[in-house]
Amino acid sequence: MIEIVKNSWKEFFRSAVWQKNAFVNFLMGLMFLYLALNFVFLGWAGGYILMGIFPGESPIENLNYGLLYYFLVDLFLRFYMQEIPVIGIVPYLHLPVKKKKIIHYLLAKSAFGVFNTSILTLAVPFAIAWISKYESTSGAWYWLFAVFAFNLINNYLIVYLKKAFSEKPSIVLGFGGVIAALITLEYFGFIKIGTLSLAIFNGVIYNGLILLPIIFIAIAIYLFVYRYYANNAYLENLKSSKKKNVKSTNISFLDRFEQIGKLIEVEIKLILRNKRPKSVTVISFLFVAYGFILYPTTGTNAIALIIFGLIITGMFMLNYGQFLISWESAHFDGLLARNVQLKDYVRAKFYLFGVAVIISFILSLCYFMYGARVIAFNGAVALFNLGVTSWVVLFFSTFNPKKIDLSKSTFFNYQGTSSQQFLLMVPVMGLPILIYGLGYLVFGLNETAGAITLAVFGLIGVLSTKPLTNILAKRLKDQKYKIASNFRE
Amino acid sequence: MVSVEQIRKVYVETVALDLEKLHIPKGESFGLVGNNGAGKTTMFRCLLDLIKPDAGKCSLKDIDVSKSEDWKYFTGSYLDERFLIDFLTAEEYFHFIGRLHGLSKEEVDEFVDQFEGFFNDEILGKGKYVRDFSKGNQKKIGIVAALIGSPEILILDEPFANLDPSTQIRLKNLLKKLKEEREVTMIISSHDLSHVAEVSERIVVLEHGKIVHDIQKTENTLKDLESYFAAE
Repeated sequence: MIEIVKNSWKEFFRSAVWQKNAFVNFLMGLMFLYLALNFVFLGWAGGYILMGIFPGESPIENLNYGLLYYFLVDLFLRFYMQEIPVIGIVPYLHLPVKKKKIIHYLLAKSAFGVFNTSILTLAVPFAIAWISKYESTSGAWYWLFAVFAFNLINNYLIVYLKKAFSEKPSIVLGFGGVIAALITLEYFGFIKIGTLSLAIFNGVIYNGLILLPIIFIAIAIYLFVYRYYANNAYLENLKSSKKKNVKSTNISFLDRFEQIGKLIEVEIKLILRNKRPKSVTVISFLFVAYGFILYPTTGTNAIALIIFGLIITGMFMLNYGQFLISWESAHFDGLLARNVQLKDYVRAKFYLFGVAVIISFILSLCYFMYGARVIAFNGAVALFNLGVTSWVVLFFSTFNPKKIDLSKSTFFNYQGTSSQQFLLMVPVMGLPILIYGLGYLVFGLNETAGAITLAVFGLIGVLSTKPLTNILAKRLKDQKYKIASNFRE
Repeated sequence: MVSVEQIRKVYVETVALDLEKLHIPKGESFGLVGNNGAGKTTMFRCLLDLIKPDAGKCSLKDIDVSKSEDWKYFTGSYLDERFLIDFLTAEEYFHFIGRLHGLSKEEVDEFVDQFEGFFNDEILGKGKYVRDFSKGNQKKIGIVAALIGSPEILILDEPFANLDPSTQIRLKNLLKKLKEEREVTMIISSHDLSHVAEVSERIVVLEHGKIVHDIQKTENTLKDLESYFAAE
């Protein structure tokens, strides 16, 4: 048993995520620390925030009123974000280790996932700063136990549900609908889930006995999930890949573009048929709607408009493009040995970016409700993205790309990340602001002139497609051996 | 047709490949044998411009592979599953390769249909992505894809490995036919001495990146090879 624990430590520390240079590890460590500190601060300041929203009411009661809803939404999110590490046990199945032990170990390990630990960084500071201060220390302990027990209930429910319903995504969406309906009903006062929530989480502060049924439920769910896995721990059940009958398709519209069209078609299929690129793309296009939050809250000064434009029209390019060549790591050798001209390869990527920018821009036209200025700036930035940012992203993608497994989830997945991704943000964010500033200053502090300068630079980039393609193809030709050997690792 | 001159590749102090001179004339079927780490795959990757040798050059039909990409028009190859695009169906993958050679969908379908026997009904119309096929079936897809576009040079790494016995025999017949009908220059490696002895006219043994034997096939070739490898 100890050996298995040792192995999974090795699995963690030897995973590709850490096999990078110290600087990238340091940056990522810093990022995690920053996030964790944010959570701790939020937990501590949570009471003040609640008092700000509901003045004159008890922040503890208000929080407890909403907790049950939080756990419902949490359950829904976990469907998409929590990984179940079942496949890790396959190498042990044929060895003389009791299956019971492996499964207990597997389930225990899942309790230490990102979800469960991050909620504690929120809950512990809140319990210390508010509950133990204004109620009692024992109450704070009871409350923490209750929160953690609910967390574990969700954790194990998902471990079961995800396995049982992996074939039926519609059920998950249905569950999301039920949550939305409950919130609506509560809002209009038909039901009072909040009252139940209050009874549980506020009650437990004064009466530790309420913990007993909660813990009882948690243990019961654990045992149920344990039995389910004990009965299903066979190779064929552990494999989550569902074998559906697929149809060969052909995007005939692209046929007229000869080889480039075919390359784009394959890339579109790559996106549609693989988990990670698919979710990256969906998330990127969701960012188009981000403007509905940004424009009303942050206002529309020029610099903000440029950054929002960058996010709204360029998110796919940045998000998908940061791993541009890595997406093809599994078949890069094949592309090199086949009759694919590097120029066509570069041009296909450029067109893909172009289509994404144009689609995002068309979708973003709905922001005319925030004024024509918003559209004008978005248009200028879109053109700039099309003609300049796209080449910057393409150029950066040739720097030491790393292998990526397309079938893994995108959440908390840092495979393929290197210092390149961090460096890319500098020119991507900096260049448009710099060039806008240039036009703004040269033409007498004129915002319109700044935006037009951006657009003109973009246009020049689009018109220089041919020489820029040649430069990139040359660059790729020099780098291809290194890239291919990275992908073979 | 294929020539290798003074090729040298070193990986962190181990010499992977160190060939003086190797010339393969048009239409020759050339077999490459050697133990693991002998440099077979390294040589193939050099020939296909997938790795850059530290010195020397590889030419296919007098084209230096690292200088121009024109050799890709007449060279078909399959080294490993990294040559396959695993999220396409087998048909889509064939169409893609065909497109790169300027063939229409219909032309590719017609071409691929003649391999029905080789596929043994396990590839076409199965409604599966390449990644969901077994290793052996993936290899069949890779080999047939290498034949699309009527290549003059065919490079296959371990084509017999992972194939079932019937398919191995079909593959041998297929390769013989290609040689007789179209004079394809073939470079094939294998761990299985009998297979390679059967399909090749000339056999080269690699050891630690160097050529240690370069023999024209005779009746005794298989025995000689076996005694050579047994002696080590």
